[in-house]
Amino acid sequence: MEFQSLLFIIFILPVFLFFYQISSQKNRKIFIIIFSLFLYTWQDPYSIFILLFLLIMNYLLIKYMDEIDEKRRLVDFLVCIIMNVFLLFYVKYYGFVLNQLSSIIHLPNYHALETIPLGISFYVFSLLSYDIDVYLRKIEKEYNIIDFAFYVSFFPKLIMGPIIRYQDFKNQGKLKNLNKENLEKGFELFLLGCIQKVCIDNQLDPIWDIAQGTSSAWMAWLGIFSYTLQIYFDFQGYTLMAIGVTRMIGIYLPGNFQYPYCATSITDFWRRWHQTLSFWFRDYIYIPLGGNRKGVKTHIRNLIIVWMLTGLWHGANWTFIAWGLYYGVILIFEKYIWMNIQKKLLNFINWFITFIIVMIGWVLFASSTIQDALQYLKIMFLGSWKINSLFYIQLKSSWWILGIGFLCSISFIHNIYIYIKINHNKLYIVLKIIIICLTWLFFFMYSASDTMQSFLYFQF
Amino acid sequence: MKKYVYIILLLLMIILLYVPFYNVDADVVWSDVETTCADMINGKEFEKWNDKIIKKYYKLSKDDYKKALVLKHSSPTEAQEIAVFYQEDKNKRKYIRSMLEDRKQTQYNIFKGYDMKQCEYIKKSSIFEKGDYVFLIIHKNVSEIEQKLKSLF
Repeated sequence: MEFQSLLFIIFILPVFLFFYQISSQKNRKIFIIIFSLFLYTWQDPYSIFILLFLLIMNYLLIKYMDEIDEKRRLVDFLVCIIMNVFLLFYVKYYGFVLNQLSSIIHLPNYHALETIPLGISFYVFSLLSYDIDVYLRKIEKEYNIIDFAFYVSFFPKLIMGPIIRYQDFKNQGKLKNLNKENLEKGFELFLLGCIQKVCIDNQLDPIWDIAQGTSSAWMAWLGIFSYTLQIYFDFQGYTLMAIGVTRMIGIYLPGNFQYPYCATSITDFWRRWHQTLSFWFRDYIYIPLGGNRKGVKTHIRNLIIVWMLTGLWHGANWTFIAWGLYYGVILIFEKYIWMNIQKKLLNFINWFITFIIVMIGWVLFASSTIQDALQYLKIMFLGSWKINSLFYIQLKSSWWILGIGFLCSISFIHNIYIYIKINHNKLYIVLKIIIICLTWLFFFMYSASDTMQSFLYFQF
Repeated sequence: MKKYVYIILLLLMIILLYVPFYNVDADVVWSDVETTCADMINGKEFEKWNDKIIKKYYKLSKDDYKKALVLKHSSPTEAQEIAVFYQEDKNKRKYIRSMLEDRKQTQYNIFKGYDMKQCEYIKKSSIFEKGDYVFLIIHKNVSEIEQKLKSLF
C-alpha cells in the first residue's frame, strides 16, 4: 500500500488523522507506533520481525552501554554497530556474495534470501546514526522506549526516508492537535508529491523500457533522458508525500532534493540529490575517515570508499558499485583537475556537462548488468544517428510530458508559480484550484486504469 | 549479563550465515533426471529436441543453460511436453524460468479456442525449480511426474 494509492488517500489517511486527533496527547505516540507497525506488516508481513528485533536490540544495547569505562563502552558500541551492519549485510548482500563466490570456488547448494525487508537500508541507517551520536556523546541516550520506537517506526519515513537524525526528530516537541495551517500546508505538499508521482513519473515509465534493445542513438538518449526525469520525480514525489503527511500532524521532515538537475558541477549535484543520504555518508564515513584534511592520497581514498559504499547502499549488484565508483572518480577529477577549468566556463556549459554526466550515470544505475549498461552506452555514443520510426513515435507521444518534466525539474515552473503567488494572488488561487482538480482527475484516471507504478526506491 | 547477550548475538550470526546451506536440495545427477523423465512418458510418442529447436521455441541459447532435455509430443495437435534445464547460476535459472512461463503462455494462446483438452493440460501444467534444475511439465499426468521428479531431490 503506497501513499499515492486510492486506499491510502481515501481511507487510511483520513482514518489516521481522525484517530490521531481523538487520541489524547499522551497516547498519540503509541497510536502512531501501532499504526506504523500495522502498515508495515500489511506491506511486508515477515520483515516486521527484523524491524522489531533491531528496534528492541538497539534500544537495549544503547541503554545499557557503559558510561564509565571507555573500553567497555567501545565494545558495547561495536557490538551494536556490528549487529546492525551484519543484519543489513545478511538480508541485502549475503546472497550476492554467495553468488559471486560460487562462480570462483565450489560451494555446496544454497538458498540465499531473495526478498529484502522493506526499507531496511533506511531504518538501519537511522539506527546507526543514533548509535554513533550516542557513543560520541553528541546526544543523550533515549530511556523511553516509546520515544525511541516512535522515531524508528514512524511510517512516513520508515520505508523510503528521509533519513532524519534522532535529535532533529526529538526536537520537534510534543505532538500537537491538528490545525488548519498544518493541514493545508501538508495537503499542498502531499498533492505536489502526487502530481510528480502520478502525472509525471508514471507517464514517463514506458520510455526507458522501450529504449532497451534499441539500435538508435536518438532513442537511447531519449530513453535515458526519460529515466533521468523519472527517477527524480519518483523519489521526490514520495519524499514530498511523506513530508506532507507528517506536516499535517505538525512534524517537519527534512527534504531530500534541492533541484539537483540545476547543478553546475557534480559536487553541487550531490549537495542537492538525496541530501539526507549524502549528509549521512559525509558525517559518519567521510569526515571520520579524515575527509580532505589529511593530504591528497587520503582524500582520494576516502572519496573512493564513500562512493563505493554509496553505490553499494543502493543494492547488491555490480551496476550499483560501478555507479558509485563512477561518481567517486568524477569527483576526484573535478576536485583536482576540472575545477580550475570549470571556473572559466559559462554557467550554462557547466550545467550542460553536469547534466550529461548525470544521465550517463543513470545508465549504470538503471541497467540490470554491467554488460547491459555498456551495450546501452555504446548505442548512445556509437549507435545509428538516423531518426527511426520508434524514436519518432515516442517523441511525438511524449514530448509534452518530457518538456513539462524537464521544466519542473530545473525549477522553471516552480519559479513561475512562486512569482504568481507573490504578485497575482487571484490568479494564484485560480491556478491552485485548476492544479488540484487536474491532479485528482489524473489520479483517479490512473488508479482506475491500474497503470500506477510502484516507487523505484522501494527496492533499496 | 551483557556478556551472555553478546555471545547469543554471535551465535545467532553464525547460525544465520549457515541457514542458506541448511536443508537445501541434494545434488542430483543429470542422468537420473533424464531417465526419470523418459520413464514417465511413452517414448514412442515423444521426440527429443536438440539445442537448435530449443532455441527456436524456448528462446534459450546454449549459454543460458548447462544441460537441457525437452521431450515434446510428436503430434503437432498435442501440447504435451516436458522440459528440464540444468543451470548452476541462480540468476540464469530465474531467466530460464521466465522463458518457460513465456513458452507456456505461447502454447496456451496457440491452442486457445481450438483444442480445449490441450488448453486444460497447459492450465494444469507445472513450472518449478529443484536444486539447480528448472522444470516445465505439460502432461496429462502432471502431478504424478512432478512428484516423481521431486522425489529425486
